[in-house]
Amino acid sequence: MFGRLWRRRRVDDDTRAEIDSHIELLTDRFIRSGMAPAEARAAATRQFGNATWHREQIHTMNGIRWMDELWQDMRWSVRSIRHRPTLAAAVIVTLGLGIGSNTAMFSVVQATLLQPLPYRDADRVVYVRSRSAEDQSLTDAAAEDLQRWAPLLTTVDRMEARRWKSVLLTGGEGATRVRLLEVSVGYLDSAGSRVLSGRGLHPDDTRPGATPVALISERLWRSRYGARADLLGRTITIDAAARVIVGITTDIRSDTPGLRFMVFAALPTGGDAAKERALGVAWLKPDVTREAANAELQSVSASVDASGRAHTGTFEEPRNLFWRLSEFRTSQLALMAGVSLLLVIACVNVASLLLGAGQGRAMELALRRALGASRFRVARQMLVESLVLALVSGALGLAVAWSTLQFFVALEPGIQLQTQLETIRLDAGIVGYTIAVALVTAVVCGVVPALRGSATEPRTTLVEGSGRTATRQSGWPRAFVAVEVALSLVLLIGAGLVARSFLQMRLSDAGFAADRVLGVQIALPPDRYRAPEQRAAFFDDLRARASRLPGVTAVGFGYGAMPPTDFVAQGAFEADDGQRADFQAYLSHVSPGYFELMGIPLVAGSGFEARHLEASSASDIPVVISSSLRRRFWDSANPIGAGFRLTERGRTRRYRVLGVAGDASGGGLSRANCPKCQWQLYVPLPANRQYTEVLLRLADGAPPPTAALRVAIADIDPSVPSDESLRTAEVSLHRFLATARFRAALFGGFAALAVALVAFGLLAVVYHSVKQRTREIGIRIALGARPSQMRRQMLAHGLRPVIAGLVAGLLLAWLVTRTIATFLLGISPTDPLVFFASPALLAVVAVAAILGPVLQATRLNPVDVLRSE
Amino acid sequence: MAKGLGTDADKADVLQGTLDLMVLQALASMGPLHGYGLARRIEQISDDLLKLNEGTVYAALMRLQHRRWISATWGASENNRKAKFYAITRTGRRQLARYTSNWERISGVIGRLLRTAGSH
Repeated sequence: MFGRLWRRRRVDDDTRAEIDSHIELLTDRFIRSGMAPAEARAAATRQFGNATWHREQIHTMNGIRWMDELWQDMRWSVRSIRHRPTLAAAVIVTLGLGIGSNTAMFSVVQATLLQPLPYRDADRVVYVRSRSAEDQSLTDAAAEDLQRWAPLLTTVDRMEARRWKSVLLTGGEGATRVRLLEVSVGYLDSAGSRVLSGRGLHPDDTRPGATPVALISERLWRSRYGARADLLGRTITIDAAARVIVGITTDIRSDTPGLRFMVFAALPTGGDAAKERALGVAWLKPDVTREAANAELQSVSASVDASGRAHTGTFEEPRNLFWRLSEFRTSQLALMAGVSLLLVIACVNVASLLLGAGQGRAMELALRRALGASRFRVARQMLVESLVLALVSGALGLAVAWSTLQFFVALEPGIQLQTQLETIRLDAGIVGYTIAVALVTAVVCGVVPALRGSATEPRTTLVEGSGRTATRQSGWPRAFVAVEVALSLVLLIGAGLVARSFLQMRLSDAGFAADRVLGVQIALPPDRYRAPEQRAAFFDDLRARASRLPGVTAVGFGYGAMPPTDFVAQGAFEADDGQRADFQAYLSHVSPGYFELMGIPLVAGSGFEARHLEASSASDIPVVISSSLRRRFWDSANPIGAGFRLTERGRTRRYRVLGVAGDASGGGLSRANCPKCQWQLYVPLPANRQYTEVLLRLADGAPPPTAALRVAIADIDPSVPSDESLRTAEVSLHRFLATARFRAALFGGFAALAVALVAFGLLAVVYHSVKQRTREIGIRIALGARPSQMRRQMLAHGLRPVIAGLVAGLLLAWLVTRTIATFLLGISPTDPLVFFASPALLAVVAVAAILGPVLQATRLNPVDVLRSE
Repeated sequence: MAKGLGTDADKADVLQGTLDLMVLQALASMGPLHGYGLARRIEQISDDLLKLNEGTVYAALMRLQHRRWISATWGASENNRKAKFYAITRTGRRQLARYTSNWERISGVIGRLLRTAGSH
């Protein structure tokens, strides 16, 4: 079709040649029959007819009329938009904000949740995980389980496994933290990695007792080892274990953006290490559905796993880590939904603006109809106009999206996400998305105004336009108001819930002196601190130096002791008095004096003393429990001296309760008002650990001596990394809160924008309706109607769709807010305060928006109004 | 697409259907022809009864091409100039058959109508 248009010019040349040839042949014929050449030519031309006219006929036939007309419509639209700059600006800004925020959020979602999988034949990949028979919860399966299942499956081509952890890499080049990926033998190849030099992994590498080997990524080879050629065969130390480098591989892309793997090792196939969990990656045979494969897997895999839990294997849709973190996923998707809602509101707003403008243009449209434009043509003209507006808005939207992304980065939305945001570029995909959104927007915004505008009856409009008759009022603008109010209310309630939940986190007591504790993680290079005495000497030295720093009143050590901790004790709990439970609690290893240092009150019993550190492994482990944990198991009984067993991964430890501490925010503030999230165990820390946190208690008002502490560490041993973890507990918690703050700020922003749009939309609608009735109002007042009465009547009229919208919005919000319950901690998704305050706020805004134009109209002098017509 | 094409011309040209029919018929019986040859053939068949504005033939040819009832290839004319030769396609032949039977039915009806008109 377009080809024909492009070919049009060539076809015209062809036609001309053909016609010339025709006339020449005809001339020859006349000459042969005896005419003089000039005469023959004239006769031939006459017989052929008007050559130019014929050519034009053919030209038109080859054209595409609607394209020509579309072009005409575009030019006409641009002209008509230029004539009404205020309207155009309002539309473009409204849509630009809507489209821009949508694009920004989409690019975040795309960069985090929607990354394509890095595997070969990715369309057949499924992840293999373990589903608990008891509560259906999903976890990674034990590596040995994956190994057991793989050969039993006929629906699967092959299965690989991987797990990653953060490790300390030491050696001559200093200590650094990197991510180690432990993989089954074929994994690296399936993930598209090539061996650059040396060899890849071999099945022998996985056997217990084999020489531990490692492969390193090209990136690490270049950055840490300066791409030196003699690296193969060298021994490096990973978390205190020596490994021989046997190969260098190309970097592999992770399925989770921001996770960069530097070192690769074989996943053990035997011994205790094989009981640890790993993610299975399987390739289904072609044409096998996941359901069919799942049925098979479930039938062969039902068993009891190493931690004594009945479970089955299950094939899951392969999703990256971001997706599997349900709180993160829900939050991202909810924000995407919020931003889409905002765009719909913007759209409705624009539709009502265009509709209002259409009423103002009724005369013009009626004239066009009267002069013979078809209804289709007028409707199309108006649609083209909104298309032009939407495309301009799309361009503005891109600018808005770009600045919004900068704003996101400034909000520090959690560490993982932040690094990701900085790498987002507005690439072709994003621009394409924006254009698509703009086009859809144009149709959605434009269709009602176009249909209404083109439905104009020339006769009635021209008569009404004379101002001598009452004007029919369309129901559309009021319907738009109702829709807009309903959607904004949903957004406002959502934002209210998120904000309240966030404020609760902030306001709830951290349970300790967060602003008075400075912590740093210390990882001693294992090759230089092999002997326990060496480690003990380092920490003694550090304690002495740190306690001399200005403002420091106490020094302590811990492991997972600096809130928020992410160490968890998990397994089967059995108390001596017979209570059993599926148990999960935060676990902190702490030195004597920890509770005083942190400012965590001891409610009962006592804290640790030096003698507890030397407790032999045969006896019970002394433990301090949190108040929430005590309430669960020993609410009325005396917990001191009570004993319990905890079985983790087949290994049972016995504990005896030494004391009860107040609830502190070990797991982070976002777990406030969730008693189970406040379960915490404190156990003694051996004095000479390789990996330790140093905790300093600061005097009131003393600034944190961060730089001095760094210097003190470097003075003892410059090869000890005192990395970016050096910060006060308050800062740690603050960072921990960043994700929640990001969410609250965005929802708040969207909601504020939505309310502003509603106010603006209402104002426009009421303004138009009042303007149309100005004359009527003037007459009524002249006939003795009291202005106050008129005002009441008009306010009631304007509020009716608002009230309908509020009711609908409340119902809608009540239905949808439960989907975001995952990250609403501490408040119900139908929190009464939010459900009351949000509609109240919208109602106030609505009344204000309506009163403006109404007051203006009823204050007019009737004589002026009537005269101005 | 075809719907939007040359709708104004359709209304005006009463002879159009007839001309299309003649062009198709000529191409079907004579094989490929160029525009001039086609004009001559139509002139010859109609025994000069039908005085044709010869340019009209080209509009008809373009129309039939759009409908894919005829195809065109470049060749050389008798005076050794570049000329387009038109040939009827298979769909064109089917259409011709349909056209022909339609034409015969209508002309039969009109013929009967005209013969009986005077008897009342």
